[in-house]
Amino acid sequence: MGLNERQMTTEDGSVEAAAPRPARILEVNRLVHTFGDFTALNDVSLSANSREFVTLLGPSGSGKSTLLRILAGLELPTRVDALILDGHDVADVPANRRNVATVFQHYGLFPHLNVLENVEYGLRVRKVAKAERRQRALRMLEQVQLADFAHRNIAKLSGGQKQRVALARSLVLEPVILLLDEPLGALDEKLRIDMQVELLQLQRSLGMTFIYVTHSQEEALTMSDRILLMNQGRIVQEGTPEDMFDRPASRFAASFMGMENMFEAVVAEVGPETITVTADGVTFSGIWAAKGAPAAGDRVCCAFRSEKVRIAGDGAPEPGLNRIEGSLESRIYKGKYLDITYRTAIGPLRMREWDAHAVTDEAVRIEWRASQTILFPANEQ
Amino acid sequence: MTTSKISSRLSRRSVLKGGVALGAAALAAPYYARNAFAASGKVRVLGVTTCALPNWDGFAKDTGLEMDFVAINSDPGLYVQEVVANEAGDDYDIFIFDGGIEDRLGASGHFQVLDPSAMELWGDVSADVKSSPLLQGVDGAQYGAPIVFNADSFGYWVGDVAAADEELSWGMVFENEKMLGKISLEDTWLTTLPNAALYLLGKGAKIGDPSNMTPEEAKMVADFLIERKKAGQFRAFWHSYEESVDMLGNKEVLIEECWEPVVKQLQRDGKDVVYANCKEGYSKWMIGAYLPSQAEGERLEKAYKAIDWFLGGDYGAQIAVNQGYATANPAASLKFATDAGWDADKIGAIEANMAKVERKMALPHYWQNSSPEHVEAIEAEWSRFKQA
Amino acid sequence: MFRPPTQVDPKGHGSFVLIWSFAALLPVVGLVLWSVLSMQNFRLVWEPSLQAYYDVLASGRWEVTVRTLRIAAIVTLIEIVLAVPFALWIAKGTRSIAVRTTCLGLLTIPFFLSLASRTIVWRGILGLNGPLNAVLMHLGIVDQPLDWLLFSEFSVVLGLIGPYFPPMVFPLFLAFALIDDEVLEASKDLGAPPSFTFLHVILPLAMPGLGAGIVFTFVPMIGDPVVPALLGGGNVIVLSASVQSLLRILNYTVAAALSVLMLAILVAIIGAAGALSARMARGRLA
Repeated sequence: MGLNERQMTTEDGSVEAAAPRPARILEVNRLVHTFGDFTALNDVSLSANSREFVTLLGPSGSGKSTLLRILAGLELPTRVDALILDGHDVADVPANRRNVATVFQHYGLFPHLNVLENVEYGLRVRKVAKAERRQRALRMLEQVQLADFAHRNIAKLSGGQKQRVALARSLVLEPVILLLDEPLGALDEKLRIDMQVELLQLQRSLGMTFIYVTHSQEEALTMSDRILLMNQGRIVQEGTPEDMFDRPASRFAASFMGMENMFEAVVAEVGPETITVTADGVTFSGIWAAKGAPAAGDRVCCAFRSEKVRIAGDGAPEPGLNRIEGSLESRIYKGKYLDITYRTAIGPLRMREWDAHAVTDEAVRIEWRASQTILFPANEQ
Repeated sequence: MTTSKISSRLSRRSVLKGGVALGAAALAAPYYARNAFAASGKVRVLGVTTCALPNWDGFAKDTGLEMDFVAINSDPGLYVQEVVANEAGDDYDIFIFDGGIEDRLGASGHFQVLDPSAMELWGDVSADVKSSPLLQGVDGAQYGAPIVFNADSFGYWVGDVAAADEELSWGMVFENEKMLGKISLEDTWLTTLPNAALYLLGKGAKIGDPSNMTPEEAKMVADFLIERKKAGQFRAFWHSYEESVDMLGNKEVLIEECWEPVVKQLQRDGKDVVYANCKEGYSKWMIGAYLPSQAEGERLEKAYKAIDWFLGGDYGAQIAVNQGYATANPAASLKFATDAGWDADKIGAIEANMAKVERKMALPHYWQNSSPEHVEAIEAEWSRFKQA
Repeated sequence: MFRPPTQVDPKGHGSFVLIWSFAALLPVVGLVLWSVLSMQNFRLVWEPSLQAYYDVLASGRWEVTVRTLRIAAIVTLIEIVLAVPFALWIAKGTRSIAVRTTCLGLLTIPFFLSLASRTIVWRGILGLNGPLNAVLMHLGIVDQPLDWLLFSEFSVVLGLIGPYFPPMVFPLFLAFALIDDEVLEASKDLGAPPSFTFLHVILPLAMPGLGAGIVFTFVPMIGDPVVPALLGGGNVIVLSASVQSLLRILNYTVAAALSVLMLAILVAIIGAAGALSARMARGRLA
């Protein structure tokens, strides 16, 4: 493994790499990419640190795969101020001369080569002697638990095994960054969850930088150190999984991150911690998730998760809770829980209830925390 | 083997069809529509295209019969296939094939011997023509009646080679140091080997019959040709009428062993080429009419009536004007044209044609023999020459 | 290689083999039989004889097999060199469906004209008084017209290139088009320059197409009578012309013997090629 080798060359024998890679291993400034009239990436800037697991999250067509291909060098950018990889500007360097490796969505394995030959391929390109490349490929296959399949025909592998071959084939080259393009998309759910764990362990043990493309927020939240949320060719928000999950800063981000309850309101009062808003005569409190700060009278958007909503008790509301009356509109049985919709003064609100017996009354009061209510400008997508 | 003679004719007869003669077709004989036997007024002819007229009105008027002319490619393999395998004699009253085929199909009983008394004009045909080995079987039986014939030599460019009326030797074609690489030959042993033999004969070589050589004689001629080929004498070998027209016309070669219509056509295009008068002699060919052995009774009567018409002046005059070929009874042709009031040009052409044929036939010559006794050996010698 | 469909009824399989045997093998058996019989009065008679083979060898006629194979091999090689980049460009080089369709469509245009009329054009171009010689002389490259441009093996090879280009391009195009783009990108991503990707990924994956292309060009060319007849000027005798000459005099036995000889050479070549590729395949896996 590359990391092991680098560790071995360490002068003082410390666990840290002797020549640590720069903390900032990737830097992209103001990238624009167009296909004819269509702007696929619009003024995108991003960076990644060494050993970081960065996820490009977004719906299909958001530009995340194009961005990945540009990072791989498979597509050269229309325009970019800087594309610095491991200290070098590689904006004009094609894929075959760029020290990154890609795990493709359908793995891109060579069907005429067996497992071992696939893993050896990049080493063969680099004219590594046969004995050495065989040894390194086998070691890599061990790492992905495929040593026994070295001479197996590619066509006879399962999806998960193919996935590992593709990983081994890329990792054996010790790339600066491993790029993964929806690598789990073709696997069934159970396998996908196993592979998520395995990928994460691999990334941690190798100490390698992963840039991971997915459209699944669950995958992004589970695996990433940092998530870049993309929409329509732009990075609309970035942050840790917690940031992204709890404080989406736009309608798109909120809805993509699964905030079912969203409505517009007007700022009544800006406090130090919370902001009070009114909608259809009802007053709520929430926290500001976007940049800057609103002023009284601004139109804002208010969002919160259905699983944070619960049925209120009879007593007076505790501080820090928003409360509203509603009547049952519909309930949908989802097995583990019920999705219940209440008709309220501000429109239908969704509640996810795990205890089915709790829902009996037609007219109830529901409540949710102000700290779990996020506010962001209403005029932005 | 009769067949081979026809092979060279194959292309000649395909003049109208153009393109390259594909020998592979030889075995794939077309199966012509065979209806039940014709209503009484009809004569059915299976014949090579060259002998057909644009219309048969004269035939209908003179004989009261309707002509049903079915064209066949000039290919001995095809003739044998049709006559033997497909029993075409059941369906056709007359075959008009390249002469020589009777050696084979007469002997095998597929043709019947002609009855001269059944044809009024038979007596007017010159004995020379009637007795051609291309009409008589090996036993001397008269199987065929002459339809068209000619004597072939070579064409050349007047300014570059020789004067127009000069009497030339076949050596101009075969042994001509001044014209290395300027000569093309017909790609068949049928004409080229005997023509070369004629030349060698003139030089004193011992060759019995140029058109029926022994294997030794054929080998000697092939050896001579191979020597000339190695000297660079021959530019190319042509396979089809169009090809021979192009080759001589474009001056790709200056001398070409070819058919007379080639020169005629080039002259019409204003090219200064002529057809050679040969010292040693010519290569003569003939197309004859043959009667299937199945024809008898009324069928036979009609067939004889039709052949008689082919021997007459109407047919001969038309062929002389259109093709420049000789027919059985040239005097009758001239008389017909005169009586019919044809214009002076046409009558002049018929007269010129008569004079030409007379002159050529007076010279030594051989009849192209498609079935020499040693055809396999001769073809093999030819192949050796071509490979060299 | 395609795996045989497993759901095919084995009985159906059997009858297919039977039909194939009759349609394809019977003529071959007949040919072999003819070649060892004798002919009398243009009929085959049951008198076994090797005379036909003797005749083929004695007359030097066997040389046509060598010449025919040589010409077919040279042209096939030229076709490969020309068709591989072209097919690759159509299949992978251009993203435009319109360009691709146009290119493939243009390839079919020659089929609207007969082979003979397409070929005859070369006559005018290559002849002693043709434009090519005129240009060469005008430029002072030669002072005499080149006579080997026409009626030579050169002109036959040149004339064969055009008609046998499409049958090489189409299977190659299909084979290239079937290669997953992701596989090619993976190769590039793993550091391979285009030449490496071509040799180690594209070529191996396109082998079935290349094989089909060779079969569709080399084999029909062996039997092609048209181009050698029109451009060889009788100086380039190929198998078809020789067989044709024999059939004209109804010499079936020698024609059959010559064909059997060619067939034997072909089978030997195919066998050798098969053995060689099998050995190479083993070498790779070892």
